[in-house]
Amino acid sequence: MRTTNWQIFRFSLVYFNSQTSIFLIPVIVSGSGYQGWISILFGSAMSVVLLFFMIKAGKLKTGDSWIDFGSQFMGKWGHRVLVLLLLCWCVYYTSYDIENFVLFFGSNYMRGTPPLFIQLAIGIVIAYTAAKGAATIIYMADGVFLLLIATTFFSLYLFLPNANFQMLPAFIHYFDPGTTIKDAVTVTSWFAEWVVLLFVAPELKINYSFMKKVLLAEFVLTVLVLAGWALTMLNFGPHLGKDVQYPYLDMVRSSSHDDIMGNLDPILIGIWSASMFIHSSFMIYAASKCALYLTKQKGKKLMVPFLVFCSILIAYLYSRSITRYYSDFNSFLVVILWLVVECIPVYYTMAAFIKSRINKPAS
Amino acid sequence: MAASVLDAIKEQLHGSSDAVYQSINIHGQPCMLIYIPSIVDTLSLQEFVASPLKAEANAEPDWPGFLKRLDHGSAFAIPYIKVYDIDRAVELAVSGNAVLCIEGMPFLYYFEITHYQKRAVSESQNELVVIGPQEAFIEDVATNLSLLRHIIKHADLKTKHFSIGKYTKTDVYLVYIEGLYKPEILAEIEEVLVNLNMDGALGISYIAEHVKQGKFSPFPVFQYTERPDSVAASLMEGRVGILQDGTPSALLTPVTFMSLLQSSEDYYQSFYAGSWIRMVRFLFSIIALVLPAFYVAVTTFHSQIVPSDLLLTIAAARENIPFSALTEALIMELTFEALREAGTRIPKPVGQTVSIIGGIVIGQAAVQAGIVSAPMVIVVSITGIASYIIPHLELGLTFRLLRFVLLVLGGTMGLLGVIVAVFIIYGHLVHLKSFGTPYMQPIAPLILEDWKDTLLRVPNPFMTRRSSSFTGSKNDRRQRPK
Amino acid sequence: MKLLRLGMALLLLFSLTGCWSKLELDELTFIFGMYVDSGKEPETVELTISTPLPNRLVSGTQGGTSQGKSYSTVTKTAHSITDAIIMIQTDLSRRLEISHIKAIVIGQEYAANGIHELLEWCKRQPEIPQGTYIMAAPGKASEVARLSAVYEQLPDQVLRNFSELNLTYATTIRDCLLAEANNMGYAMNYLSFGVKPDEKDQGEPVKWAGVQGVMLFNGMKKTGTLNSDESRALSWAAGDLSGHLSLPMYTVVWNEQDSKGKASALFYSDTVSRKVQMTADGPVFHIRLKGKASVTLFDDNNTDEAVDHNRLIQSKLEERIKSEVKKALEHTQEAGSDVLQLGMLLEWNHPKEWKKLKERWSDYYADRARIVVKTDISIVDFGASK
Repeated sequence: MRTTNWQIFRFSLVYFNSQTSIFLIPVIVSGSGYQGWISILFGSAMSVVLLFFMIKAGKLKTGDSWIDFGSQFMGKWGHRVLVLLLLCWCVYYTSYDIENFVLFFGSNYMRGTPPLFIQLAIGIVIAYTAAKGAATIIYMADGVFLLLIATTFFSLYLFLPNANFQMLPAFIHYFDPGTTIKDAVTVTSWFAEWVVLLFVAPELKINYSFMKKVLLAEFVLTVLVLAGWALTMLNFGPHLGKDVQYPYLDMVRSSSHDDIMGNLDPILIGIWSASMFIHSSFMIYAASKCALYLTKQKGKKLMVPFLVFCSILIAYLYSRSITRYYSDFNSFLVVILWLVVECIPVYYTMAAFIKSRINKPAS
Repeated sequence: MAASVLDAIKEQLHGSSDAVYQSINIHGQPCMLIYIPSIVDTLSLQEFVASPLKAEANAEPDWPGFLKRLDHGSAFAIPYIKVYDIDRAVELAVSGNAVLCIEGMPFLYYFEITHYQKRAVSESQNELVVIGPQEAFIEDVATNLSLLRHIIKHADLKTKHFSIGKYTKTDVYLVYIEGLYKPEILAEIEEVLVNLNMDGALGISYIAEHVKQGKFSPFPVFQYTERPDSVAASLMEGRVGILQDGTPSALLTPVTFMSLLQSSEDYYQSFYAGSWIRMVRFLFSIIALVLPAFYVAVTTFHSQIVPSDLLLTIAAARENIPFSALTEALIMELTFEALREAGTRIPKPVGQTVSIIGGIVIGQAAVQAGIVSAPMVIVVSITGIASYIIPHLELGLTFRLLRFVLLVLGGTMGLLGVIVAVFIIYGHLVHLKSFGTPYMQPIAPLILEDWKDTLLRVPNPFMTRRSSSFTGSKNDRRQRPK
Repeated sequence: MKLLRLGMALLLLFSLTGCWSKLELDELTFIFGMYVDSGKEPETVELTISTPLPNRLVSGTQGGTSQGKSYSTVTKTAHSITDAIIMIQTDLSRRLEISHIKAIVIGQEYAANGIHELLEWCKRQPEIPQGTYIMAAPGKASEVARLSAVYEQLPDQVLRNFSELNLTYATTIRDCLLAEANNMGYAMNYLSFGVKPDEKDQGEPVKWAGVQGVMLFNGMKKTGTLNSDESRALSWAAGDLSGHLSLPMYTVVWNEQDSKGKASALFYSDTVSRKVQMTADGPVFHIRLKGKASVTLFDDNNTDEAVDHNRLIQSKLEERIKSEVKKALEHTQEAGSDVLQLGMLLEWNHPKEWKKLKERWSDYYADRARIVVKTDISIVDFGASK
């Protein structure tokens, strides 16, 4: 298996791009208005802090995956609880992915199709890909990377004609600490999924070169989200932007009037969905690793389909009560929950630190 | 003893009326020359075997001297080998060797004067280039090796011989260049070839399927080629080739998806043309897979994608068609497949007529009769043309197959079906390995140095390193001109 | 293995059931134009849709003529737009598909009563492209639906091209929504409609439509109209808000002691910059129009060359454009519609002041907004003759 650190850069970019580009930006637009860029920068900075903790946790024992050596620092049952927590979070997040996709794709392109159908179709893809293993998923991200960059730049270019650059001064004239902090925390929870990268540990060594590439990916991602947010604001303004469900789609659709350009949105969505599939598949892969650890490696063949089935079930239940889904998705409780899980590396680093302190006086 | 040797041979060859037993009396001792004239070089036989024997028979009687000369290897001008095993001797006799049986001796001598009927080296029929060598392999493996050695004149070119098949005893040669190949690949193929136990290998694909055992992917993990220059180039990249007697194609491995989309023409034309043609090929190979499914999905589910003017034309064309878009597409595609197959089998004299009829019937009349719509005919024709743009037929066949799956999915699930299917195929391709080499290298995993020879073809002076997909050597620098 | 087989069977089953949103192209009819009027009774809306007939369109282009019109219109009256659509659908043999709509025309009365429902309906449906052009009719919109399409194949294409040519405004649904969300005013093309009794098209007199100005809106209601000259000036001043005015032409006359004559100029480049400056009395808005022109006509009572009168032509042009823009802006102030969205400049640059004025901005704009107009014209070339 030939794996390099640049691959991690490409993988991180593809992995984080899908959810943030389409779903995070509307959240920031409705929440922060003109100050969104401050929230994005703060959130990005805070997620870098969590990144450092992840690197520290990954380096605690190089060569072994976190799942195996974690119990040394947290104790057997502590580690088990955290693994279970991570497992549940992965499955729940995947169900969010699936339901987001169903709402996004289904409501725009496939009206009338029962959501269960789309959920099953996506579920099959995710199960198939997740079963192939981390190396294959990382390679797939490699291949999709160039295409994704090209479509991102192309779509940003599409948004330029209708952008009203006179709005730019507004970005520096508004500042309200309350909403900024709250939104920054939300942004952090979206950006800081670094904990899943602990699972690439056996294949890739977590060291400083690794960290540099991931930092670079974080930087590029921040730039892309900023650009996307800025163009959304320049196109729609905060007042209309609050109302529109999927500004990305509206921008592509209204970019030109009757030729092929304005109608290209399904193609762009198709390429974006590749990034989304990679995101969900990797989550399920991580979840299956957790689950196999908990069941002591029993049931290898059935684990991935079972986990995907759970995600689909949750997504299905949400699709039956849409209001519940929207309130959950936008609630601050979910943000806190996400952060709790994403701080898992912090717990381990703390535990290792405490342990080394305890051992020092003893020796 | 001697009598029983001859009798044993005669018993094994009983029923083969084309075996000839030429008896010659040398110095009073009866000797028997056994051979099958149709597979022996009769001129060599007369000149180098029969005539000296006759001369010997007419010379001074000197039986011990004759035996001594036989033993020293100086009795004949051509090489001859002693053999003790009777079964082996019979095997040699039916393989085109002439066997000399001497009265009273427990051993036999055999002369290697095999001469099979073979055709002349001709132009390549299936892999055409405009500039560049035109020679192609023929069925005779010795000629093929000679064509290969004509190109690679280095002692590091190794040829390992295997004999496959109980009844056919086909000669199979494993060719590779020492120092460039990946030893794991060689070891794996050797193991299979050594343990192969079959009646006969008629084509090289028999072996391919045995080596591929367990990999049920529709995508080819071997590359077939009939051009010696392709084989030579691949060997110099570090690949391993298999030549089989009786098949005018060679097998090359490992293979990547992009290498299946390359043709030798790319290297012989200028690098601008080569790069451009490669990109066109890549684009059209994707079109060959996806276009019918995309068209059906868009016209059935997502009419918002199509620009209005085109949409009105398509809608007007579809007005009186009794079938749904999916059914129409399936009918057209199946008809096209039938035409294709018929075109391959048709005898040449009738070929022209049928293609004209096919074109007229399908193209014109079906549209006018209102069975299919004109845009559908265009889509199917473009797809058909696009599928022939793939230089290696084995990949083209895979795409032909997968196109139907995508068509059905696109017609029932719309664009979602196409996206799902393409993603699954992509995942399968990335996961597939051809002898340890990831199939989608250098796209996934992304190896930027190898992109010099993927979609682009940089000029030769810049191709300084061998592709890491294939070479196993530590020093992957190609030699530079001084 | 069993699981795999079960999975495959399920998958096949699903694909056999077919998909729910599947509709063949020949089971659809595309709405190309929508014409919204107020119904006869209060609180009702009269909706007319115009759909093309593909057979007649295509065979018409292939040579056959009198096959009848290549489009068809249906009109229904109901209490809401959605109800009207439902009633129209019951009259048609195919399913309506709105994603290819080209133009929406609103009637004079409907505009005066408020277009709130229309905008909300357009906003919520994902199939309606937000770039659809919207314009106002001089009387009833349904009459405009029957205009004779002489240059194009369908009347909706004619209407769409009016906006695409951008000789005045090119308002899209998105522009309206954006302005409404920001609480600003906006404008859209105001059509003219009439009959040309001399020409005949398929036995009937030709009905001709054109653009006679712009209609001003504020708070979802019509607030006034501007004539052709003022509309052109306003769309120049609006810059990108009007879709970017293309190739305006101006003619000026002068009557001085040493020369009398007239000249026309075609502007290849027209830009505008709007700025706000805070003074002690409140905000002052500066609008600066810039243009680069090419002289297309020069008719003088002397035999001078046009080049010599460069300065004169330039200053006359500047004067004319400035006065027209000023007049147009005055009319918008009277109507209380902040069409140039000057309030947004305040919102972006001076949030504190904007907070104070936000609630009553339309009134402030109508009474107290100070707008200063400057022009900067330069002549680039004089055409083919001296």
